[in-house]
Amino acid sequence: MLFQLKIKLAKTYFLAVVFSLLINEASVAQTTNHDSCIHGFIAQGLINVDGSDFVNNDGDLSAELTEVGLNGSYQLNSLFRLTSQVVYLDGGNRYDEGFRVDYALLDWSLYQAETWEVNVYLGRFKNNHWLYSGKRDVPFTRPSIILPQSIYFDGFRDIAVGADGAVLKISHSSDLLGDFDFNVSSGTTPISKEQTQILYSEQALGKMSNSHDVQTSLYWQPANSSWRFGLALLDADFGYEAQEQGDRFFETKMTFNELW
Amino acid sequence: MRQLYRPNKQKIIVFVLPSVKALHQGFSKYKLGLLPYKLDRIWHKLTYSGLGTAPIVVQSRQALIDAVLANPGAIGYVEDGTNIKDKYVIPIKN
Repeated sequence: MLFQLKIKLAKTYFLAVVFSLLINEASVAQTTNHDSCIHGFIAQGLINVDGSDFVNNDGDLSAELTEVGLNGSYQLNSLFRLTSQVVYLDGGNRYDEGFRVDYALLDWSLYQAETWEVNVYLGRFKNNHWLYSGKRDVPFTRPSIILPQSIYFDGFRDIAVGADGAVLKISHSSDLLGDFDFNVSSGTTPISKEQTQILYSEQALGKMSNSHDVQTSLYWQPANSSWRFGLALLDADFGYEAQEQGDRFFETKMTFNELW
Repeated sequence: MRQLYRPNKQKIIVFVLPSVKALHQGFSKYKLGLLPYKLDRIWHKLTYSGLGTAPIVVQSRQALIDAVLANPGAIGYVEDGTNIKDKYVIPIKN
């Protein structure tokens, strides 16, 4: 159970209470097959935002703060693992309400040694380049009910949360220096018409597309330290294909380059 | 969860107690140097981002011992001084 105290922010008041339930597969000591597991979570909250249409248009108390997820993992053998997660989200105006496949991928353990681990993830993967991007919808993994919108803008959630493509992850652990994690990913994200209208406006009749999204990050956690330092780079291209008749927006191409 | 297999390719299966248990809290704080909720966050990130799987949670100390004994390659933790018949318990010293 999480309680968010009333916060005053530029005349906008948030009051949100979230009740969350974590569901884990029951473990039985006598079983010898630990190749599969299922996890899930359910979270329902109440949110009141005064002075903003961040959640709803009328500013009333709202129950549009629902996060439900179910995932499964199956270890095929020592090299390959299949895993997938489906979530249901209702965030009001923040993002499109409904189910989505968060990730569905093949985890290929390319190289394993005592202090090195190299994995390739193929399929729909989550963006793990930022501190909370890979777990932003799981309420007990983030420090606040709503993440800082300056970085984790919910209107962009369905685009930023992941992509379809491949990830290379290299991890190294050193007793002296600490833990290093290097990620590089390449993929594209399907963008729905609803998502297009969240970003452009309801008057956008065309469709947004993502043609290119390459990200890389390097994180370092010193040995015996709670601190974690990281650098993330992003290069992504988007376009908008306008509808021929009546569309207020023109065909455009946008490139984002970001350094975190 | 940074090493999943031993050099001989044997899978490492990790059993733990729930984070509310005193033994787990002591192991997390004094042996791993992490507060239990931080350890939970690490495991949750693995679990809910597709990167890996969290350890298997069992409900009692005896269940943990039984699980480790029943699964070759498994690891867990017991209280100092625990004597398991015919088995060698490796002490972890800071």
